Amino acid sequence: MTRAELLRKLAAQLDWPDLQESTRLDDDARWDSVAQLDILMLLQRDHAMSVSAQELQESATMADVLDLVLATES
Amino acid sequence: MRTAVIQGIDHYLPEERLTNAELSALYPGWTADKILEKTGILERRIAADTERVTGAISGGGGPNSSWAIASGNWAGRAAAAFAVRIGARIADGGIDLLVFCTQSPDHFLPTTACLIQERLGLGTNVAAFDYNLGCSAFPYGLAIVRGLIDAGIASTALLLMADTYSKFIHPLDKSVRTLFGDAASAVLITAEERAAPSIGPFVLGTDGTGAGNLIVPAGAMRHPLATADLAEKTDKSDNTRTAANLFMNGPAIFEFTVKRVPALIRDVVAAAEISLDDVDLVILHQASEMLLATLQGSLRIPDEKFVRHYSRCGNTVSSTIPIALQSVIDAGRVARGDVLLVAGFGVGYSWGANLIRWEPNA
Repeated sequence: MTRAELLRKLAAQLDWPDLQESTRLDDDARWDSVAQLDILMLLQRDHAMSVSAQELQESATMADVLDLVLATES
Repeated sequence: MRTAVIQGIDHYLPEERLTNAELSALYPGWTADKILEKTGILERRIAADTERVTGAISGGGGPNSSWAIASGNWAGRAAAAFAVRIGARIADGGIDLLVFCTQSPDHFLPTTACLIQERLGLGTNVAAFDYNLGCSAFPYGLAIVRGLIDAGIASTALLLMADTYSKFIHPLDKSVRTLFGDAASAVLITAEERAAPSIGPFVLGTDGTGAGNLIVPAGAMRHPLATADLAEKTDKSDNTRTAANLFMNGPAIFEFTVKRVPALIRDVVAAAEISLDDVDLVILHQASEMLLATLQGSLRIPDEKFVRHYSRCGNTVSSTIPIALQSVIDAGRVARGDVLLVAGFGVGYSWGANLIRWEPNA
């Protein structure tokens, strides 16, 4: 899965059309526990992948999330 | 061989309903449809201000009298027969073990089971005690009761579970208020002769590193309640709570569950030397739609074997599995001799699973 593909997939899951790698998560109200759960569920359901909830919650930008998921995948 | 056999199950839900429409009015950006999509829950049942778990189990008059074994006011088609059976056992002094699970006791002390013994009018020969677990309550309770019955220490047991998490929940914390409901449940278990154990094998486990992820931080001895603990704080997800309220780190609970539960299920069927295909119904702790859908997919359990029962009561913590089990019994989905797999997991972290061969007395 490429970074671009993953970003598109997460944006669709979160219904967040303007989501970019540079999007800051730590000051965006949309990045709440439900959004984090949505990502965890998507990764588990579609990729049998379990990423660290703590690291996900500590991600400051969407780029950090992509790094975390791709590192877990590899 | 002498072994413990489940004879009947029933539960009680309080009258008050908390709907998604009511919740969506409190939480900006959350529609009733979104709450339903994320949780799978249409409404939760909430204990009234005056209702406590002792009332839920035993009635006893006053504002608690509608929550009762004593009054026979239990839910489900089996309620009348169950109440008669329990009532007969109480009347003839036959119940010699009362095991009660709650995380919302009437008092720190005395043990709530002692209050229930008095309210139910059980004999003073009864062994009665509480244990404190949440979502793993049912398999742990069955393990305790089976151990005492198979060892010849008890012969007729009431396994009771009741929780009123709503009393810990801040009204403006949608992360927990959308999920949890209050309930009580009761299981009658007796010593019988069977060719093999009817309940078991068991797999039980614990990981206290997750304790802080589902917790009421203040109010007990480690952190006695102080005025400062009642200060409200709003987190980044726009959920408000105090230190005396329930806190849940949903993503961490999800991570724990999807890592732990599939292995738990594999371990319990391996312990029984069967495969998951040999199990007739799988009844997991009814946590939320997001969790159950993920677990069902991971375990590849077909819909006809996977029990869901939470849309009209929410996550009732210790009672979710008995309520779901009763629902499939009442619906005629359980035949004598069926093999049922039950698994509970959550607060603690604590988890447990076991098999039940459904073979009550005729």
